Amino acid sequence: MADKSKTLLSFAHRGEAQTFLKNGKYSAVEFAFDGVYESEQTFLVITGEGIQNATEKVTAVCAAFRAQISQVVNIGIAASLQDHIRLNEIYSVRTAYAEHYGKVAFKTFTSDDTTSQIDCLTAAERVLQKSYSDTLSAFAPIVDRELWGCASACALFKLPFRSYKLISDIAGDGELCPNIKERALDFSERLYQYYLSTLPDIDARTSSNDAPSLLPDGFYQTTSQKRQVQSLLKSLSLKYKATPAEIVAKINPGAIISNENNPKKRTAIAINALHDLRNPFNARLKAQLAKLCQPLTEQGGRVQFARDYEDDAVDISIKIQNPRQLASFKKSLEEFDYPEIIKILNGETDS
Amino acid sequence: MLFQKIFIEQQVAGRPQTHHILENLPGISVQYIDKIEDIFERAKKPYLQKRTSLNLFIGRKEGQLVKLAPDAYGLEGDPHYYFIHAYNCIYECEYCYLQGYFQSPDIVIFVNHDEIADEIKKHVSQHSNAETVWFHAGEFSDSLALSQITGELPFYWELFQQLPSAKLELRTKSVNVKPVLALQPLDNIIISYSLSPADAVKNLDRKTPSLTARLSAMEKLAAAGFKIGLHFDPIVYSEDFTTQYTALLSGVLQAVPESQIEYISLGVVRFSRQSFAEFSRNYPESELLAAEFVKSFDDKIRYIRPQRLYMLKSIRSLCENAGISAHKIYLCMENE
Repeated sequence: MADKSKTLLSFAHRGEAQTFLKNGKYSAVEFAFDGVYESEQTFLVITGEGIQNATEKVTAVCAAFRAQISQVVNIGIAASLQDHIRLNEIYSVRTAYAEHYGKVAFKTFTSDDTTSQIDCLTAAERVLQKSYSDTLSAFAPIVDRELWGCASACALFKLPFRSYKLISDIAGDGELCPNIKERALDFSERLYQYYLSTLPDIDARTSSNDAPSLLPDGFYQTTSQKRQVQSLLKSLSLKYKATPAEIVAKINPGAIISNENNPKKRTAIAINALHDLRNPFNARLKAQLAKLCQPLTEQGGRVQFARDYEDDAVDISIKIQNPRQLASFKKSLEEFDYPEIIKILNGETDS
Repeated sequence: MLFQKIFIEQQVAGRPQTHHILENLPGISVQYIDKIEDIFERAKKPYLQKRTSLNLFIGRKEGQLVKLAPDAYGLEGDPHYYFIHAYNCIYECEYCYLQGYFQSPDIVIFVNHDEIADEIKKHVSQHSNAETVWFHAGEFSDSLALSQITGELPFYWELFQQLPSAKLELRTKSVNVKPVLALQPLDNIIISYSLSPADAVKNLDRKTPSLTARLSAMEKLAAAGFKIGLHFDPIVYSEDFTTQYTALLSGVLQAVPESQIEYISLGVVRFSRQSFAEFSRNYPESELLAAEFVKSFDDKIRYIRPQRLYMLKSIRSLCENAGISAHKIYLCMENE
């Protein structure tokens, strides 16, 4: 299987993508539609204008190359809706909003760029009228025609996305900026330079792989145990403000290895120890309850409490195999201190 | 600047309170709109954008203006209602349920207090004079944080002066007590503070006044004769929580004499499912995420029952040992 390490760049128009195509050593990919390219590090798709085009084409490319694509970057021009947005500036987008023929869509998508503060609204139509741009300006300071579609495809494939928008004109000015086509090369070059400047950041985000096993050699972990260990160590790292390795050291893995020969059982012991470390109250509670249930469990009885101890119920069961066992279990049942258990379940404990 | 933009419903544009708010927020771009819901919550606005792109909406609250509070909301035996004159909060407490409640962190201020007052009077009239009927403000917002801008406090003072059988609770974490100190203390108006130990305030109550500042605000209010309510809520487990709450109680009793403490409510940290999902997304590094929570009796996410009851009982004992009368202490949103 190929490495999931490529970025998919999406553009609405070829004009916006031209510098990328020229400098990026791309070759055309034979695909269901034209406008899909591939280089060593990236895929590139030209979607055409509009939310539907963007959604369909980015979804198709993500589906076809899902094993290789790790993130999506939507790049292109946009228009300003609010006065503080500067023409010719490039903004990284924070959240993508959409308008579908007069109604703003409830769903929004937030990019991977945690530093950005500019939202973009993807409009259903070109925003030529002032009244239209005034309505949209309540939701975002810039407007485009594709981002939300692209972002919705990313959400479908659980892929992070970013978007870089160069502000080419002011929305609602009555007509399309007449020289946008003439300026396409300039826009593309500037977007390309901007994209290159963001690469170290993007690479850093895509280089993280699955975390390695966090328990030392000598512990056998099933996939679900590995996940459990990772999740526990994450919680414990927050609790103790320590690294996973420092947390593992707290449960003394060496001692677990010495005391238990079975590598699978060692992992189970380690997981229990991590649970106890995470919730010492729970550990003490379990120990207190186990002690009180001991008269029954020693006779082969099974004592179960309500799920998460949400009520005082105790479920006691035993498989009786002979009259003598029945007699001793009856005796143990008489000794069983249920009122004390109720007290503990209701918070009356020395914990 | 606190707000990026102000949206005002046309129908309240001429109200004096709207003018009062605008006078107190000069230089912010204003847009007049038909209805708040045309924009607010129309699209999902990520909660943390409140840090950089917070908008203010001013409008008229419609629908139910006064609502019956859930069980175990306030002192047992009395009817409790809450009224809504704002949505959302300028603070950013990591556990805040508002992050999963509204689809936008933008602040909404309702200015039709006259209609809210009519509803309050109607509810009071449905109970006998022998009953104390409680009205709580601050269910969906902090009651004092913006009160110098919104200016509604004198109106409610006048209202509750006419309703001696009713009580008003203004719930807050704010130290903005000037607008309250400008008024006369009333027996039936209680300023209640949500408090946690100093470390918890520092680590979890982002952008709120420190514990010391809150205690100092409470001291000023108490010295001026105002009645004080306390909410030890949310209580978060730590191995030394009893030590921390002992210190907190000592600070409280230095600031406010026991006689002026109207009640203490105790509530262990809890989340709705939506709030927990939002909280985990918004604060992935929060120390609260290290805790082990379960889905409890009311579908809320909490500590296991023995743990939360142990915490509540321990803190109740600490309160009683510190000299707070047992009848003033109640457990919030928890079956004993």
